[in-house]
Amino acid sequence: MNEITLKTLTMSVTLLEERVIYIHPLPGTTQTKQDAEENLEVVVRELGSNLAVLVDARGSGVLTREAREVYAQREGYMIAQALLVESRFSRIAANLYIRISTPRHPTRMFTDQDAALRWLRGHLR
Amino acid sequence: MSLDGARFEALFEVIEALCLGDLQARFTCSPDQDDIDAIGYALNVLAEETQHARAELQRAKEEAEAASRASRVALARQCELESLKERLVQMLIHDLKNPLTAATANLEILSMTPPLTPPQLEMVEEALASSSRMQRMTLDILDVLRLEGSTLEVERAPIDLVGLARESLAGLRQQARGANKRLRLAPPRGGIDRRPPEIDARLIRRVLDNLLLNAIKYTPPDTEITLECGLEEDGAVSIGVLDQGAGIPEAQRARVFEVYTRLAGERHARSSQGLGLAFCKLAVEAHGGRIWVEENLPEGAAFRVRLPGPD
Repeated sequence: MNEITLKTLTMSVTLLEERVIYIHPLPGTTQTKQDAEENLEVVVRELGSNLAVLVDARGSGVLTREAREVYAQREGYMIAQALLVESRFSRIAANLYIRISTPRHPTRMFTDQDAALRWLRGHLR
Repeated sequence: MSLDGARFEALFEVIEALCLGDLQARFTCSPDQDDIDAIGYALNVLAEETQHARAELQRAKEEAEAASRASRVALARQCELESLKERLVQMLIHDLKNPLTAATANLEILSMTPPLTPPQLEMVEEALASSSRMQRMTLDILDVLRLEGSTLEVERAPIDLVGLARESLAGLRQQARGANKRLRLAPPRGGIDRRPPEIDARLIRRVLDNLLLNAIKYTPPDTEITLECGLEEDGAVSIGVLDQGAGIPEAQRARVFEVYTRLAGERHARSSQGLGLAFCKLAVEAHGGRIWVEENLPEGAAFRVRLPGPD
C-alpha cells in the first residue's frame, strides 16, 4: 500500500496501512478549536472514518482546551487512539489529555511505536 | 540572570497570578518543551479547566435562577387563574341562589293553595323537593369554596343541638319515607339537652342534613337511620349518623370526604355530588373538630363528628 500524506496548517497525516493513520502535529503550533475541526474534516473526507490513530506527541505543538475537547469528544472519526510520548513535557501533555479531556474512544500512551501500532491493530479486528 | 532564571521567574509570576485568582494567566511555552515548559503547560491546562468549570457553574447557576424565576411567575399566574375561576364560580352559584329561593318559596305557597288535585299536589311537591335539593347544593358549593378559601367565618353561639337535630330530621322525614327508610333520634347523652354548646347553628344544621341525606341515599329500603348527639366528659360535642347499609370499606373511608370523590366499585357511590361530605369535613374542621366514618356493627356505616368543647 502506498503511503498517503496530507498536510494542514497544524499537522501532517499519513495513512500507514488500511484504516491506520499517523498524525504529527507541527512543532511550535497551537491548535485552536477551528484548527481541530478543520483537521478532522480533512481526515474524514480524505481517509474515511473509524480509523485507528497514532498521534506523535513527541516534541509536538500544543492544543487549546477547546481543541482538546473536539478531539476527545467528536464521534465517528476514530475507534482508538495511541499517543506516542518521549519527553517529560509530552508525557504530561498526554496524561492531562487522557485524565482531563477524558476521550470517548480507547486512548493509551506509548513510548514505543511498534507497541502502539500492535495495540491499535487490535482495535481494528 | 541566567536564561533558566528568567524562565523560572516567568513561571513563578504565572503561579503567583493564578494564586491571586487571575485564571487568565498563562505561561508561554518555549519550542524546546523542556521541564519548565512541562510545568508551565500543566499549569496552563489546569487554569483553563478551572476557568471553564467556573464558567459552567456560573451558567448552571444562572439557568437555575432563571428557571426558578419562571416557575415562580408561572405559579403566581396559575394561582391568579385559580382565584379568578373560583370567583367566577362563586358569582355564578351566588346568582343561582336568588332565583332558586324565589322558585322554592313560590312552590311552597302553591303547595298550600287549594284547590289542587292530588296529582297536581304530587307534582308540586316533587318540584319543591327538587328545588330544595338544588338550593342545598348551591349552598354547599358556596360554602365549600368559602371554607377552602378560609373566607367563611364560623359564627358560634349557644344552641339547642337536640332541637337542631329534631329540625333536621323533620325536614327530611318525607324524603326518607319516600325511600322507605325510618329516621330516629337516639336519646341525647351527657346532658347536651341542658348545656347548649357554642357552635355555628347554620353550618352544623347543614352537616346534619348532609349526613342524613347521604344515609337516605345510599342505604337499602326498609332500614333505619339513627341520629345521635351528646356531650363527652371533656365537653366535646359528639354527633353520629348510623345506618344499616353496606358500610364503607376501610381503605376507602378517608376518601369519602374528598371533593367530587365517588368510591370505586359501588353502584350507588357514597357522595352527594361529591360535595355534601366534603362540606361536612370543611365545616367540622372550621370548628376545630374532626369527622370520620367507621363500621356500625353488625352492619352499616357510622359517620361520627367530634367538635371540641370550650377551652
